[in-house]
Parts: sequence; C-alpha cells; structure tokens
Amino acid sequence: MFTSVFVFADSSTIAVLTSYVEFPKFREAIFEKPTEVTAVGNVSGIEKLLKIETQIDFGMYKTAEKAELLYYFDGEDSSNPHSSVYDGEIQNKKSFYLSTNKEDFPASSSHINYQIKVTFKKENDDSIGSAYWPTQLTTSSDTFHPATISTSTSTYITGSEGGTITYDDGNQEYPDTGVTFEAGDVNGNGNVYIEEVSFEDFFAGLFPVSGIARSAALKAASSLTYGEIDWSKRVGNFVWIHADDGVSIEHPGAGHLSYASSDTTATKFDVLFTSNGASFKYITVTSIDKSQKLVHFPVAEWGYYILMVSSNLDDNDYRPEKRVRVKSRIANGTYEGFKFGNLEEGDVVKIFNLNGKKIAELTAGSSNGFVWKGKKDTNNSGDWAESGTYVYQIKLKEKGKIISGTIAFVW
Amino acid sequence: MKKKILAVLLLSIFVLASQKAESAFVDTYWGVRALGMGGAYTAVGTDANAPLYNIAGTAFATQQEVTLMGSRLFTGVEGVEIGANYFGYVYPISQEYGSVSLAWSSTSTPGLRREDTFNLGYSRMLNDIFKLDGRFVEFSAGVNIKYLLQETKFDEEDKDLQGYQGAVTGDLGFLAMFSNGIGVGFSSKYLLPADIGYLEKDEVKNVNVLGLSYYNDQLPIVKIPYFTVAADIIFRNNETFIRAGAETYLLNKKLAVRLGGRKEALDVGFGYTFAFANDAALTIDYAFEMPLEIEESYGSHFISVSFRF
Repeated sequence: MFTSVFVFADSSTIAVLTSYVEFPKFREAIFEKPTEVTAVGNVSGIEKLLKIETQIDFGMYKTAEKAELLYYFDGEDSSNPHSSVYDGEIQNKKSFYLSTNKEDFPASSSHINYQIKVTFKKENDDSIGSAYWPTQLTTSSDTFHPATISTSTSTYITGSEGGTITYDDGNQEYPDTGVTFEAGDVNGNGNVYIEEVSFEDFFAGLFPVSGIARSAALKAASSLTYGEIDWSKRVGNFVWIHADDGVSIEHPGAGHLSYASSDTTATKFDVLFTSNGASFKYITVTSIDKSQKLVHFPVAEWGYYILMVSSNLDDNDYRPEKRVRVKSRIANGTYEGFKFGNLEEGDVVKIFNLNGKKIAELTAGSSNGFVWKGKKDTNNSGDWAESGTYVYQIKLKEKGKIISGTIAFVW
Repeated sequence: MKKKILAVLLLSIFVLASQKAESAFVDTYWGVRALGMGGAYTAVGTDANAPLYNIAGTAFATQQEVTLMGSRLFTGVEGVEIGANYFGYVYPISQEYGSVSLAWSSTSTPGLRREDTFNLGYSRMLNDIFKLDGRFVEFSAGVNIKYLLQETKFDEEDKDLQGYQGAVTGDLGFLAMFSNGIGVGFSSKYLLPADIGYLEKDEVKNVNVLGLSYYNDQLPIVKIPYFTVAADIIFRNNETFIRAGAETYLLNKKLAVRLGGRKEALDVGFGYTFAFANDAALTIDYAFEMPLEIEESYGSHFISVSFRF
C-alpha cells in the first residue's frame, strides 16, 4: 500500500509527501514481485521544496541502509538526477523525511520528477538490495513520478457573470483552493488572483511566533492583534486572494481551502483573515468536508486567508460560546443565534425543552450551518420557540459522542 | 344568581383560553406524588401538591398539609445541571369558607436562568350553591393568583437588559368527584395575559387541562387495593398533550406505588407514610422520571417530605 500527498507542513510552507511502502505478502520476494503503487502526489511550496514523509516495511531485510530522494526538474537530464540523502536512522515502519535541496530548484520550473530509493541489507547473508518508489522493481529505477509545482493563478471574472478561480495548492488527491463568485457578487471586471503565501516570509521579523492561548471572547472579537492569536496550531493553508484595481466584492463569494489529506487527526478548523498582517479576524466557517479535506468559508474581502488546523477538540469547542440569546436580537441580525462549533456533515444538534421534548434539530445542509436561531423544527424551519431554558445535545458522528449543555432563549 | 355568576365565569375562561399568547413556564415539575403518576393529577390531587395542577382540588383537603420537594433533572447528562423545587401548603378553613393555599415552584439552571412561580390560592366546595347531592357527587372550584418571575443571566452583549422580569396572572379550576369513583377536573391556567418579555411582548400561554380519574378501594378481578388511574389532556398553544398514571396503596395504605408517563418520559414513584397521633402523618415520596428523547440520562429524581396535621 502506498499513499502520498503534499501539503503545507505547519508553518514551514513546504510541501510534504506522505508515503507508506508495505510488502506484507511478499516479504521473501520484495524485489521480484512488488506491491502495486497507485497513489500519486503533487508538489507545491513557494520555497520550492519538496518534502516527503515515508515509511518502509523492511520485509525480509534486517536494516535499511540508506534512503535517497532522486529528482530532476523540467528541462534537466533525467539520467543525472539530483540526490538528497536521508541522514538519520531508518527504522522499520517508522516515518522519516526526505526533502529536496532548496538550491537545486530552478526558479522558472513548475514541474518536478522524483523517486524514492531505499537500500537494504539482508539479515543472513548481508546482501544488499534496493527498493524504489514509484515502482518497487529494481530494474525500473529510471521511473520517476511527475508532479506539478503550484504557481499563482488568476482568472478573469466579470461582475455580470461571476466566475470561479481555482488554485492548485499542492494536493492532487483532493479539490484545490478556490473561490466562486456568482453573477453580481463582484463589481467591475478584471483578474482575480490566488497566490500561495509563505507564513514565515509574510511574518518574517514582524512578530514573535510564540502563541497566546485563544479565548472564546477573543475569538469572537472583530479585530485581533497578532499576539492575540494562538499560532501554535498548524497552518493548513495560507493564500492571498486579490484582484485588479476596480474589482470589488459586493456579495461574499464561496471560498474553500484544503488541508493535508494525510491530516487525519485534524478536528478543528479556523479561518483567519487579515488585509495587512496587523489586524486579524476570524471568518465564520460555513462548513467542513472532511472527506474532501475542504473548509468552506465566505470571501467578503480581498486579503489574506489563513486556514488554521488543530486536533483534539474538547467538549467546549463544540458548545455554543454564548448561552443566552434574545429573540429580537437574532431577528434583527445583532447576532446569529446559538452557534455550535466544529461540526460537520453527519453531526446533529437536538434542542429539548425542560419537559424533555425535542423542539428543534440542526443537521448539515442548513444555510446557517449549525446555528440555532431559536426556531422550532429542523434547521430553523419552524416558528419561534418560546422563552425558556433548553437542553441541547450534540451528537458527533465520527467520535460517537454526545455533548450536552443548557442554553436560554428569551424574548 | 350565583349560578349565573358561575356561568359567566366559566364562559370567560374559554374566551380567555382561546387567546393565542406566547410564553415560558412550560414545565411542570410540581409535587412528587403527581410526578410519580406522570403528572396526571388534575382530577386526583386534593393535597398540597394540588395548587398548581388544579386549585379546586384543595377544597377537598380535610387537614392542613405542607410539602417540600427537591429534585435534579436529567442526571447523568454531563453539562446539564437543572433543579426543580416545590413548596406547597394547604389550609382547609371549613366547608363554608373553603381552603386557602400557598405554593412556590422553581426551575433553575445555575448561572443561566430560573423561573419562579408564587401562588396564592382559594377553593371551596360548591355542593351547597348548586344544591348537589353529596352522596352522588362532590363539586369544587378554586382560583389562583400567581406571580411569575424569570431571571436570566445576560452576558456582555445584552447587558442593557434587566435580568428579572415578572408578571401577575391567575388560574381557575373545577373538580367533580363522583361516588362511583370517577373524577373529572378542569384547570385553566395563566388566564390573565402576563407579559414576561425582556424586549418584546412575551405573554404566558394559556393552558387548559381536562383531567379524568377513576378510584376503587379494590380494583375488580385483579384486586389491586386503593387503586387510582388518571389521565390529563393538556391543551396549549394549539397542541394537545396527554399524561397518564396510576397509583395503588399497599401495606395498609402506608406504601404508595405509582406509575405514569407522557410521550417524552416514563415515571415511577413510591411513597411511605408514617402515622402519628391525632391523624397527623409524615409522608416521604420519591419519583423517578426517565426521559425518552434526551440521551445519556440516568433520569430525573424527585423527593419530597410532606406533613399532614
């Protein structure tokens, strides 16, 4: 089995390939009958680095002596690839990293061809063999895997027709970062751009990178300084969405950022926005599609959008930050309602009155996300609920867990 | 003349009851004996648990009684801490002057919101007015004046709102107990428009309850002693709810066993009475309610101590 993907790794903004080579059935014939490799990867990273995370099953071999990343760029001689050697100890079925040398990368190239080579020593007779990816056949060492390096993208969008701009953010297995404007969403005609941004370059020398724990109150604030944001989370994606002069946003477009397909532990997603790097605000995430590794959000302004990813949510991360809401202030838009965080398709929120009767339910697919606006029935489709104290129960499909609490809705 | 007054009164109840209003105070966790019977108490209660179910029932009381209840709702549901408390007192003055009662009920979630109802009630037997034969039926009526108070702990965004909001309203109730064991009760609650809204009109909804009960010293065939079965049909805001329950007394009427329920919950209850001199008695009641829609709950627990003297 092999899987590989490329993503931004934390704040390093370099691409990562996660791969796992396993030969469970052919331990005595590792070179004669290789396991089929089907996964592919793409390459991204404005620092022009390819970083690969991989694991190797030694099979019948005692140790892995050396691991190499061989690669060449478009226009270069494939018979004389660059080589980057892993300089640490390679342990059986333990991840190790390989990466290109930054200085090898031609600034003009947008494609890379790469290959992983692992050399083994046999247990009994100390004979040496090699395994390759994309192919495990020793005779196919000339096989390289091609990948595209992400580049900035622009699309001409008109106010009357709208348009979609899609940016290949280095994850070939999943949809790319993009934003769609419907007709009338933008004013004016012109190019709209999405560019990948280096976190380190963007903030280089501007701020300390040590994080400050984010509080619920801070998250709700309309304007945050750099120091008020918890930067200890992983930066899933960081893009600059902007347009030619004269093209303005009248209505928010539907944007989405992708995160690492290998990031199976990601459970919490925040989208930060900044126009200048000095003042930040959290954008309300519209929905999260874990199967596609996509986080949807509204694009209401030109500027920088940062997807923050973290794991290990606690119960309070799902509960509504505000426990009291007044009907008329929901109705007039002063605030949304009871917003339940970090929920995704398949999760359900049920609202009960104190007699234990279910009066409302929130499911995915609501245009409001998981926000209870004080209305009965499914996804706020009914009449206003009465004043009262209500019990909510959040059913997390993936975790198989129920989180409960109380809220007050008054008139 | 008295009959005409009563007829006008009854008519006014239905006129008021037809008004569509909005409200809180939907919850009825009042009295452990009643809860053990699923809350079907409108045609049953004649004790200190009766005032908030059917004030007319207190006219049947023959002794003073005080009851105090504490509870914890939806235990086992992490993150939910809700308590309901009830105090009731009934004082039967005489057949001629009727009974008076005091009651307080409260449902509270610490740090979030609470609802309190303060209740002053009066009831009287009406057999003399209607010239009814007491050997066939006993008929009573009662009235409650109640003060509703809600307190909400608003956060910073709503700090301009006052936490307390109260209003006055009232109930009327009627109860007929027939000699064949059948009881029929009617209680119309929140008859006066009581606005408890913070920012807009929020009038407590009128609730009309029709209660039916049947009592037999020993149920035929199955021979269950001192058996009561009851049902309440509740009409509120164009919705209809049904509560039903049953009760029997064992061990020479010392031990009560109760069952009941509604669509969202099942109830079971027990009570034990310690008798003292001069017909005084102390009763400890317990009720357990299992919610059927709320998950991960070990149920709601209610316990009360009542003293009759």
